[in-house]
Amino acid sequence: MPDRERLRHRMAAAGVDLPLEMIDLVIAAGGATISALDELVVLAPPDAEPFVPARQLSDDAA
Amino acid sequence: MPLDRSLAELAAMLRRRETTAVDVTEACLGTIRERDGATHAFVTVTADDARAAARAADAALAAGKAGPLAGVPVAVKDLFAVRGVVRSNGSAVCDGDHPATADAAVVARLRAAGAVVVGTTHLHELAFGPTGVNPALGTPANPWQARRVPGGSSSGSGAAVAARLVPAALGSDTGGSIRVPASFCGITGLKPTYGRVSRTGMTPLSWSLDHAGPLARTVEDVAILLGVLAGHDPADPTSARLPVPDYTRALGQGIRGLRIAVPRAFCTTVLDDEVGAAFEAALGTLESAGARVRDVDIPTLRRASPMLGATIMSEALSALGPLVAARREQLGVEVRVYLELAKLVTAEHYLAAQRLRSRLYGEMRDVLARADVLATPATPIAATRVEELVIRVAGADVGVVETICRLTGPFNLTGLPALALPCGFTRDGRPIGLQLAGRPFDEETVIAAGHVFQRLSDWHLRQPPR
Repeated sequence: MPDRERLRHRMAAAGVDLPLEMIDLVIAAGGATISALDELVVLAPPDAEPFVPARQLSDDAA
Repeated sequence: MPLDRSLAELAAMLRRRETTAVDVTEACLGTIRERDGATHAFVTVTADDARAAARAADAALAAGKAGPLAGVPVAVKDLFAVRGVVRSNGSAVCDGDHPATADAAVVARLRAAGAVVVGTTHLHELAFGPTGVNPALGTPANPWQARRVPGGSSSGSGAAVAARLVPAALGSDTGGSIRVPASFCGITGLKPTYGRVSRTGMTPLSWSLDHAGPLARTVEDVAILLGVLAGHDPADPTSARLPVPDYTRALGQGIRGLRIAVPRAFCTTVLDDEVGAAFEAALGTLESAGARVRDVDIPTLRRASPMLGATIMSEALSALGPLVAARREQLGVEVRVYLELAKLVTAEHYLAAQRLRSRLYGEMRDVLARADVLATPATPIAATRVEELVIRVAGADVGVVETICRLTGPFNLTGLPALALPCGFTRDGRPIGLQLAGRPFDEETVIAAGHVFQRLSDWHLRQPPR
């Protein structure tokens, strides 16, 4: 299935409520980011905790 | 004309009593009245309050008790609470809201330092976008080319400073919203370290990415402003309890031996040729002052765009949901699209993005253990046309939104301080920005490097056509 079609199906399955004429525009402008979401899960380092900037940055600066 | 002066020059003139706060404020209000029709930077002009504040500043100056910004006019992005003003947040969904009963923490700090708040400025709807295009409330004109976007989301603040309507303004920055308008409008903007400046009284977009900070014409100006804005706020749970240095002392530092790291492979993957040339020339200028430049690789930068997207969309859906729920039909198309697309981001995606943020931060920390600052172009492209959603860069079609945030977003993900300042112009006259980022809470080094660059260049002194 081409990427564009896959994205359309994915949006429909997630309940994305947008007019049809807008879907192509959204895919053109932001399709790459949407497609890359699943890669984040694959790439997330197993030994890393979620980043908490308020704690991490102060700890490192202290 | 006092408004052609930088904030530092104007504050010094006021301290020397070469002009008065009342005269400066009247000049500022007159300029806004005369020229903001074309710029469309202001939502609300608080003329009566400004005049009262100016009289108080003159009294303080006469008594020798004036703060560092006594009598200096400033504008405030219209997502910070300003006492007595209805906050638009750049959206029709806020029509009919009540005026704020108290100032945001940063506004209160500006007033305590003697600044004269002259009004609130337009923004990308709900600060959710980097272009500044706002069909509902109007898009501020880029003062250099009216059909080009000013950059966002602090669009009105950027346009107002560049157009010489005010010497300084407040902005917020979630994926680049201070640095993008600084880059596109040819001014200077600083996103401080996460936790350095309070966010109390600022409408949230994305809690783990939102920052407040200044836009002005020069690095010296933003150093003065940061000294006023920075400091612990018990009302903001993310506010850091670290001491605030005198940032103006950094202005006297040279940069001989300063180690500058450039993630060149990442920067050049999507980069306009003219922006690339200006960036290389800027690095050469810094080298001429004694800095040493070397290339580095920060592998997780390549995933920064989806990390930023997953984080902003998830947090914005939660932050803005209650605000827009009852008035969804008044929401603009772009934000409606983002909030719908947020449904595609699962908890697994969100947490993966947060864990990758830890890795990205670790990689940057390692680089900054062997270097003093990171340098990139502020934005890979100069200001786009208002109607453009996809543009061609280096032979490839790229999304405008993603491209604009490509180099600023990583410093929201990591919370590191990042400064944008002018470093050139395209052949057709659009400003180009340089970005310098530093270690946590080390704004001083970034300010020192930026100030040296502005001593050696005149890009920040150029004025848009009137």
